[in-house]
Order: sequence, then C-alpha cells, then structure tokens
Amino acid sequence: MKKLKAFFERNQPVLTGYATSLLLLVIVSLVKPGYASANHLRIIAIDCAILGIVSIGQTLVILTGGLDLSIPWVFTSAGYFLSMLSRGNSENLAFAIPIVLLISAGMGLFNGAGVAYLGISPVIMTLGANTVFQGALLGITGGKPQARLPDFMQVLSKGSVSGIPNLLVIWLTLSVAIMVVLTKTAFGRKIYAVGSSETVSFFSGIDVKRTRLAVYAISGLAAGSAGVLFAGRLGQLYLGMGDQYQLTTIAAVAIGGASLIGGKGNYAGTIAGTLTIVVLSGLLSAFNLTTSVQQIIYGFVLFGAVFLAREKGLER
Amino acid sequence: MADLELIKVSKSFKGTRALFEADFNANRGEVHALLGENGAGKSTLLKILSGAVRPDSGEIRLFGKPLRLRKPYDAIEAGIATVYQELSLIPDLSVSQNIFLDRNAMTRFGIYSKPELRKRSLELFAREDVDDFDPDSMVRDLPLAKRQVVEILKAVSRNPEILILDEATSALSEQRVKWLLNLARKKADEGKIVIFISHRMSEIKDGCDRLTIFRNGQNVGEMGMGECDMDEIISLMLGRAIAGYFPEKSASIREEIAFEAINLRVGRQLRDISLRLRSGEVLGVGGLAGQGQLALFLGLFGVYRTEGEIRVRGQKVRIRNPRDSIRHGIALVPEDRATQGLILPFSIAHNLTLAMLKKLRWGCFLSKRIEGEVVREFMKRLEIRAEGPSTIAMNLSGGNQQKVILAKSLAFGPKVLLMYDITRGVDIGTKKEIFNLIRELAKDGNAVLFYSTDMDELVNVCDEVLVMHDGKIGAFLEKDQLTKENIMVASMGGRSMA
Amino acid sequence: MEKGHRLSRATRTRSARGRIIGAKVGIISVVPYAVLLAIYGVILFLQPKLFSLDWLGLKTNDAMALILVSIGQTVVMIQGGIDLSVGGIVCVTNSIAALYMPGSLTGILLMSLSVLILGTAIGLLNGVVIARTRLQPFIITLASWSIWGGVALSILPIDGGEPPKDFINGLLARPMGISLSLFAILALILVWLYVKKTRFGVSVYAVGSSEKAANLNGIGVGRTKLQVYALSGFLAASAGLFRTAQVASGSPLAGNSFIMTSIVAAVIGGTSLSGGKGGIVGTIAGAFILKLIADMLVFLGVSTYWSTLCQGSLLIFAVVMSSVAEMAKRKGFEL
Repeated sequence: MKKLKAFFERNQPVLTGYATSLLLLVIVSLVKPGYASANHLRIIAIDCAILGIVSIGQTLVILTGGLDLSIPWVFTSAGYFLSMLSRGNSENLAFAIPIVLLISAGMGLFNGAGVAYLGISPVIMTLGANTVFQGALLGITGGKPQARLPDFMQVLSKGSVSGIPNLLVIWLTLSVAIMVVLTKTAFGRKIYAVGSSETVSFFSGIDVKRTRLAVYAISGLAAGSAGVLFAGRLGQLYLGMGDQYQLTTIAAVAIGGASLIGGKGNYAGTIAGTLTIVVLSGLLSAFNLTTSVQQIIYGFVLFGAVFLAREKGLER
Repeated sequence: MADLELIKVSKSFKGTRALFEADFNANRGEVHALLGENGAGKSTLLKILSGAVRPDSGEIRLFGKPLRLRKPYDAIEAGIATVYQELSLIPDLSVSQNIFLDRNAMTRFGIYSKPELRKRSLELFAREDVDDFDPDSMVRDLPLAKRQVVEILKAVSRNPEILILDEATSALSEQRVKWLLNLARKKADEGKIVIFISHRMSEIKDGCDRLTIFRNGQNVGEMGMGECDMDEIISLMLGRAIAGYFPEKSASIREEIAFEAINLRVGRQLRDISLRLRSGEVLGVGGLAGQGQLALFLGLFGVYRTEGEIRVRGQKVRIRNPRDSIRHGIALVPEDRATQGLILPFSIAHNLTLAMLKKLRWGCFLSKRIEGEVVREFMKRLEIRAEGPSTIAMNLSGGNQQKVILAKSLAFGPKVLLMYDITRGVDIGTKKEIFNLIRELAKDGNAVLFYSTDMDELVNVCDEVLVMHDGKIGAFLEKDQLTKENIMVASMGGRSMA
Repeated sequence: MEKGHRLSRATRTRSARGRIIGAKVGIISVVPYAVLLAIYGVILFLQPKLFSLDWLGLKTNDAMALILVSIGQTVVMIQGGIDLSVGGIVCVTNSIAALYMPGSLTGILLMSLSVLILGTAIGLLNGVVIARTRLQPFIITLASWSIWGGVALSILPIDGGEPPKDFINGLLARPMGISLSLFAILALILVWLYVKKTRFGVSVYAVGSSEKAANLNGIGVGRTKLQVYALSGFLAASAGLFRTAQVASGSPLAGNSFIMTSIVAAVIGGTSLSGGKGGIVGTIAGAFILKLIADMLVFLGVSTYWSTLCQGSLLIFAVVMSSVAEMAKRKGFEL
C-alpha cells in the first residue's frame, strides 16, 4: 500500500494529465454523443501522433533547461522540401526522405550550436532561427504553390494497420524508444544531469555542450519528421501549417509535469499533455465555440492543468 | 529566567523530526556555543530564531516577552541577525549593497546612494578591523572565504541584540577565524547575545563561554566552558564514547610518482607551480584562504586552463577539461557540495555513478545490475546512512552528502585524488570516518592531495604539507617540520623554524 | 596582503577585449547603441534625405509602442521572470480603445485611464498567481495571453474601430519637430535611473539574482513580483493605447508580435533572461534596432520574399555578438 502511495506521489503530474484528458473526453461524449466514436477517436489519435512526435524533441530540449521555438518552420520546411525534392514521384522518396530528415537535423544543429557553443539564450536563438528558416523558405519558394506530395507518402500517413492508424503506430514506437533512452541509457542520464546542474555535470566529466547540441538536433529531426508525416496526411502544403505547434508543444510538455528550468519530467508526462491538448481542442470545436472563446477557455485549462500538476511546495 | 528562551520547540520536515520539545537558553554577555552532530537539530533551531522556518509548536521569549517570528523580516526587526551556513548574499549586487540591503541607508529622496553606501561600508570595515575589501565589487566575483566575511559584516552592521553565527567559520582561514572570535567576544562584552555553531573544537574552546549540546532534536546538556572536558562533550554529542579522533599515520609512501605538475601556470593567478605526488602519499596543501589553492585544484582537474606540464605516472598528459582528468584517473572532491558536487534532485545511486557512466554500459544501455553492485559496495564501504540507494540527495545530512560525493569520486577507480576542503560543514563523527578513509586510500597506493583550512587536520592526516602564499608554493613541510606553528608562519610568508 | 582599494588578481579576470565590449559610458551600454548607430549609418548612406528630425520623429513614434512593452518586459526579466501576456494586453487595450473611445476631452481622458487601469489589473492578477502558486511565469503568462487575446477577439473580431482625431493628434504630436514620444522616452529613462536606486529597484535586481537570498534578507519577494508584473501590464496597456493612435485603428491580433520582439529588444539591450542583470536604457536601443532593421532592408532593395530571412539573420547576428561579448567578459569558469 505504501509503495502504491509513493508511486502516485512521484508521478502525480503525469497521472493528473491523463486523468484530465480522460475527464474532458467523458464530458464531451456526454454532451455530444457519438463524439467518442471509433472514427473520431482515430482522428484524435492521429492529431495526438503528430503533436506527440514533435513534442519528443521539445521534451528533451526542455529537460536540459532549454526551449525550442523554431519548431513551426522546421516542421513546415520539411514538408516543402519533401515536395520539392520528390516532385510528386514516389520513387524519389528513397533519397528525398533521408535528405529532408538530414536537413531538419541540421536545422536543429544550427540551434544547438548557438545555444551550446555560443551560450546564446535558447529562447532567442530558436526564435531567431525560426525567422531565419521562415525567411529562407519564403525566399526559396517565392510564395509559389508546390507540387502534390507523392502517393506513397499519402498512403503511409493516411493508412492503417488492422484498424490502427499508421501514424499512431509510428508514434507509439517512437514513444517507447524515447522513454527507454531517457531512463536506461547514458545519454538520457546526461540529459537529466545537464538540465539539473550544468556545473556538476561538467565536473563529472560529462560533455555538456555535446549533450545540448544532440538534444537540439533531435528536436529538429522530430519536427521535420512530424512535418513530413503531416504533409502526407494533408496531401498538400500551406505556409502556416507549422504555426500551431509553436506553443502547443511547450504546453504539452509543461502539462506533463516537466519543469521549464530543466532536470525534471519525462515523456510519459508529455504524452498525457498531448492527449489533454488534443482532446481539449476537439472539445472546443465540438461545441462550436468561436475561436475567441476557445482561446479563453484554452488559457484557463492550461492554467488549471499546470496548477493541479504542480509539486507541493517546499515547507517553510 | 534567561534573556533568550526557546521553550519546548518542535519541528518536523516531511515526517522527519528535526526538533522535539527542545529547550534553549542564552544570556546577554555570553558567547554561547551550540554543539551537535549534523542532523541534531542545531541548524533548525537557529533557522527558527532567524524566521526562516516556522516551528510546529513551542514558544520563544526575548527579555521575558514572547516573540512571534513568521518570516525573516520579523526576526530582523526584533534585532536578530543571522550569518547563514548557506550564504544569503545577492550575487549581482555589490558588497555595500548587500551589507546595507534591508535598511534605511537611503538618502532623503528614498534611494540608495552609491557614495553614501561606500562611505558607510568603509566606516564599518574600519570599525570591525577589516581592510581588504572593495565596497563596490560584485559579490559574484568574490571567492567563498570573502563572501563569508561579507555575510558576517552584514549581520554585524545591524547592531543586533542577538548575533547568530551558523558555521560562519567554515570557509575562513585561521587568521580570519581569530578575527571572528574577537568580534564575537567584543559584541558579547557590549551586552549582546552571541550564538555560535562550529564543528571545530579549537574555536569553541577559545571563543565561547557556555555551551549547549543537542542530540536527536533535543537538548542533552548545558554547561560553562571550563566545566567539563572535550571527551565528555564529544560523547554527549555522539551518545557514545569516541576514541582517537585522528587515525594512525602508517608509512605507506611508495617510490612511484603518481602525479606531477611542472612549471604550471593557471590563469593569471598561479605561476611556476611544481609539485610531486607519490603513490601512497597524502600531500597536504595549506595556507591562508585565497592564496591560489582553489585555482591550483581546479587547474589540476581541468576546470581552468593551464600551461605547463602535467604527468601521470611518468607519462605526459593533456588535461583540457574534467573529462580528460577522469580518463587519466584523477578525481576531484570539490568544495561546494550543492553546486559542484551533487545533483540534489538526483538519487544517491544516480549521483554516485555520474562520473562513471561509461563503465555501466551494457550494449547501448546502462546495466542496472552493475549500477546496483557499485552503489551498494560504496554505500557500505563509506557507511552512507540513508534509507536506500534511491534516496534523494537533497534529503541527506551534510556529512552523508559529502560521503556520496566521495563515493562518486572513488567509483571510477582513480589513482589520484584531489580533495578540496572536504570536511567543511561536516560533523565530527563523519570527519573521523573521512580521515580514516583517506589513510586507507593511501595505504592502498592512491595519491591524495588534501587541502584544508584546519591546521590540525593538515598536521595529523597528511604526510607532508605544501603551504601556498601569494600564488606560489611558500614552503614544503615534512616529518618533524610539519607543525601547526610552521604552517602558520609559512602562511604569512615567512621561513619555517628549523 | 591585499590593500583596501586594490582588488585581488582573482577578481580582475576580464580580458581587455571584454572590457571594451562590455563597457559602459555613464549609463549607456556601448554595444547596442553602437549597433544602432551603425544601422542608422547604413540607412543614411542609402537615403541621405533621411537625415532629418522629421524622419527621426516618425521613427520614434513608430517604435514607441514596442519601447513601452519592452521596458515592462525588461523589468520583469531583471526580476527573473518573463511576461508573455503583454501580447494579450496590447490586443485587448488596443481593441477597446479603438472601438469605444469617445470624442470629448473628458471622454478621452477617462477612457485612457480606464484602459491603463485594466492593463495594470491584468498584470496584478498575473503577479498574484505567480507569487502565490510558485508556478513558472512562462506558463502563467502564456495562459493569461491566451485568455486576454481571446477576450480581445470577442470584443473586436476583425480590425476596425475609429479612434477620435484629437486623441491621435495628441499622442503623435511633434512640438518643434521633436515628437512627444521622444520626450516620454527621455522621461522614462530619468525615472528609471531614479527607480533603480530605490528599495523597489534594488529588490527587483535582488530577487532576480537570488530569490532565496532576497527572502532571507527580508525582501518581500511576493510583493516585488506583484509590482513588477503590474508595471508590465501598465506599460503594455499604454503601448496598446499608443498603438491605437499610431495606427488609427484596433486589431485583435496586433499585440502578438510584441511578445517576442520585446524580449529580443531587452536581450539585445543587455538584459539577461536569467535575471539580476540589465536595464531599460539598452532595451530602448534594442527596440530601435529592430524597427530600423526592417527599414534598412527596404532601402537596400531586398525583395519582400527575402526580407524575412535577412531580418532573422540580423537578429541572430546581433545576439551572437552580444553573447560573444558576455563570454569575453567572463573568461574562465564561473563558480
């Protein structure tokens, strides 16, 4: 019994996150029967998958005490580059996909270099990078519409495997992988160490700069992958497609109990946060609430979730 | 009825009982020592007096009147000034701003004026016999020893009725300690109450009039300074008899030179440093605080850039960062536990293995089995007292935290150990264990470089001692030249007595 | 032994380069103003006609809203926090003012006052929540931004509103060719130099430097937080009000761009995100830099498609220079 209590105490934020999203889902289904239909759940799952994959990177970055605000345009650029490189041809994907992923990781490395090796504040660096990537993409495309994405991509993103959407499978696989990395590898240990205390990590022989660099690279890679999958699902591209992920990834990680100073949190929490956000957005749309009211409610729920998930303060 | 009374005060933190119906009495005109092992409740008692912590129950009376302290501001208003163990200075403010932070050192227009602050600081420095501080320097730029002095000056500047010194001497050199003890005496003679916590017996003997001993959250004895002897005091503190504070110095020095620095330059502070560490040797480093010892240790470990030659077992090596040092079998046990040695939110196990992650590899993963073995082995060997390997480091006492740091430094199997002031703020029982460990390590053939501000420790634990003065090695003392007097003389720059 | 005024070698670790880069001439931090002058120089080179008081006055009005928000953001950052809600506050105050401001003098004054009070109240609310709940400012002000942005959208779904002419002319006035805004900026600088030395000012730096130590010293940490976020709210509201005059209309989304730009202006100006360091004098330069860069690109003939890239790159460049300057100042490991 004591062990169970300790488990609950330790993982309080995460469990609160799951509970909140479940509660929200129940509320919606009560008010709008049929909401929780298999079809709709599938859509929710896919939205979660995309947000979840992008948030993999954000989770790692936040764990090291940083922040990645360049996700929107890494995400969007990846989609566009894929379209430009593959030119609508599924065979070209064989080289197009690796190149796009490489570019995304490279964008992450750009961020990481500034943050880790030049000591630039992550907010500023990634924000500036976001603008740079946006500018680069605007310049390259000149605002012209792009070719459709190759069929293979669309099949991959829209398809399912025995009823379970491919994207969900991909996300779940990646989730397990990330959780294993964080808890059972040296790299994961280093991430938590660097996020908790850069000094102690340095004194312990950990290469702080390289760890940070790696984490931003992974974030770029995650954003790029998600962008590619999202574009495949949509079938087409539009310039604003990454914007919604600017703050939602951070919110997902924060709702999941991670500390924005670093060193505390895990991906299971981010999953809970992702669920909460997606279910919440769906709930708000289902009630046909105007964007303005949605936004107000979103603010309150964000506050509420983080408030409930907070750690009981230190005693005086 | 005493001038200051704490009556049946209790306080628990998250289930741990720090104080249980504890009493404490002190009077004007005394320098009153508060003794006890780490975790005995002394710090909690003082934190209650300083308003930083609220008691669960009990009463405080000052000059007969009850006192309600709900926050630090209340204590300051009541005339209680505290010098904290973890310093309470603001790094980005200047020395004078820190000293005169909470009071009306303001001009008519409601602002702190820099020239006014400077003037008052210099007056304060003159009054309290301090002459090597610049009031406008940033606290962030000051070494630990100097910060402690600023902290003390800050408390004194308020002319408090009660002056509390919680391990205020731990980072000070012997000379500054004398200064502080004089200061305490002076204040007591002026009719104030001075409460003094220290882990150094010599200071307590020299500086205090009365003492109270705490054990397990309760007052177990109160007496005047001359009334009982040291052994009795220690056994009251520990609840058991303790024999032989310092271990035997067995002859363990071998021929092999484990570590050598030749003409080392560290930053701008140190020049032409050469030293030689043999296997099985404990080489002490002494001298007044701030003479370059920290730069030396951090330079040897790779935290600071160095020029010159470093050899490990005869081989020339390049040390550019701590990773290189660790790779070559050199370990540093650092000064500041909270910010250099431990990741407080991590468990004991995770802290212990932080420097040896490579050795835990099992394919791509970390082997829980190997980790468990290593952690258990070291927890046993160093007698780390905690519920288990997953206890969070933050919840350990200072002594146990130091042991975890030691274990971490030993876990990757180094042959050379650089120990920087590791007994600072550590209780007597743990200190003894650490000394034994050091001699044991020497016997096993390791080389230890040991810096301490406590000359007793240097004389009794080390085989030889280098005394640093003004960024250079002033003297090298061995065998019967290794005495406290010689260390003192060399610290001041003089030649030792033959 | 060291003498009184001579600092030990340990404290004098700055390199010569660092001393120049991080230097201050009186109250002006050199680097941001040097960069600002450089950019202005480029603009003058391309368009010599702009060497006029008239254009400078125009620019000052252009930058005024950003400056106001950035000042508030700077103070919050020095205290160790961050205020994302300024976006929402600017949106909501701009929308209300544009829609509802009456034409009479008393009407204008009352409305302006009400709007300022609203902004201050929002900021105060933020501060209360941050101080009481110990949750991170980022999240609280993020939620606040979302809420008040939503309120703005409800009040004014699309751009519109017609603020009275008197109001516009009043705020944008340029007596003797120098805009009122410039006077306001100078006044703010003077006020800041005074406030910096008051107990409030020192508390802001103290809490930003070490909240724990500040508390132990009897500083009202919670109260300082309240004051700082209230101030930010007040300034954001004044920015919203000014924008109403500047653009002569209201927009429910206008405030959003101010969030990041205010942070960047502060960082360019030398304020650190971690707290305890910085000041508004540099921030003002930072805000001007951001505004002038956009103009400079137009004059350089950069096509609109590539201008975003240039702006972003210049931003990064400025930040890199600032970081390099910091690093040069702090050679060696800081303990």
